[in-house]
Amino acid sequence: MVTVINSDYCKGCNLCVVTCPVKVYKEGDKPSSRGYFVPKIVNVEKCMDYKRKKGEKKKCELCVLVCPDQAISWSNE
Amino acid sequence: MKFFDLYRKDRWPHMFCPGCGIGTAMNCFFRAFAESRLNQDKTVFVSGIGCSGRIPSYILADSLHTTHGRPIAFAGGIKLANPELKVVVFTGDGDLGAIGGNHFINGCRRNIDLTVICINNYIYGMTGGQVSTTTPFGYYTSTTPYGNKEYPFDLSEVAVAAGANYVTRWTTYHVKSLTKSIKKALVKDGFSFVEIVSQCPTQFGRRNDMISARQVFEWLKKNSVLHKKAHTLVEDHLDLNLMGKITVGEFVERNREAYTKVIGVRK
Ligand SMILES: Cc1ncc(C[n+]2csc(CCOP(=O)(O)OP(=O)(O)O)c2C)c(N)n1
Ligand code: SF4
Ligand code: SF4
Ligand code: SF4
Repeated sequence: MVTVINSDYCKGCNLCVVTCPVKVYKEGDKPSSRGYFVPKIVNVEKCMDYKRKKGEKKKCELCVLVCPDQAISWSNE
Repeated sequence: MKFFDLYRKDRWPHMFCPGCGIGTAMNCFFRAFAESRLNQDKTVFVSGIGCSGRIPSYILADSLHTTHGRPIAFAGGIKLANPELKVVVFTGDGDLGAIGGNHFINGCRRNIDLTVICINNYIYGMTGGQVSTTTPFGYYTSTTPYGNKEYPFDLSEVAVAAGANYVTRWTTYHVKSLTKSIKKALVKDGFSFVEIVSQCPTQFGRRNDMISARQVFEWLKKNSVLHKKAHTLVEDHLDLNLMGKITVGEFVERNREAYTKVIGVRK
């Protein structure tokens, strides 16, 4: 299970970049169609919830709770 | 219920500025609400005026957007008219600590059964960044161009002194502790007060040398001191708060009888 960013919601505040303890996010360098710099997801395999199975308890999830624009969610959940 | 089920997706993306802490506060609240298994059809969300007052308009439930400073008065009315309902108030530091100050202390004093969530961003966000009753000493706002010369209120300590049953304060950085505390506040009988110190990059940050949301967020993290620790320091913890430090934690947990029970409208 990995996190994904919805670029229609993201406003490029980079709070996810500051929050993630293992640096899964990196500041974006290209503006989205709405003009915001959406962060990039790098080294996703370091995420504490990587490979978590469906229904399993989440270990970290800090980025999902912090993102002020509800842009981060789990893929295939 | 999953935590995204409470959002009114038809109104997304919301109106808050990039990086505004109100979005984070909403996440923590919705998570706590979903995990407490409360019924959204038996809950009313009440708010005053300000950016923080916009929160209920993004929740899929009944809500009341009242006049500036008066959400606690309206919410108390709802609770007395129909004590079966859960009533949650969203308010800002200006709404609660300035124009609504009297409703706040008297709501705590009566111990009326409400869950009051205050987004304290140290400033009047919506109206152009005027000084608030919680702006730390020396900080800049649009109406204090030479720095704030007034000492701020400590909203949580006021609630403790006025008699609330449960009082807690966290910042938008402490998402996990905040979620846990909101869960407690939601099930607590009587007046429960949750203060969330939050970043307003647009009005507060940029006037105080923090141009990005990220900088204000890191400032909140750096300046937070655990309430328990602060009490053993040499400095008075109120003095710490005056200078822009933030003591966080749970301030009080009491079991005084709730107002609706005292007057007999609820068993
Ligand atoms: C009776 C009345 N006085 C003044 C106003 C103008 N006003 C609207 S919002 C606001 C301040 C809100 O500040 P705060 O409660 O801190 O909320 P924030 O926008 O920071 O979340 C003021 C003074 C009003 N709407 N009604
Ligand atoms: S925290 Fe959310 S809105 Fe901010 S940059 Fe990250 S994904 Fe975008
Ligand atoms: S869940 Fe935790 S470790 Fe994984 S990306 Fe989010 S903040 Fe980073
Ligand atoms: S003005 Fe401040 S409080 Fe209001 S939405 Fe913008 S950042 Fe948030």
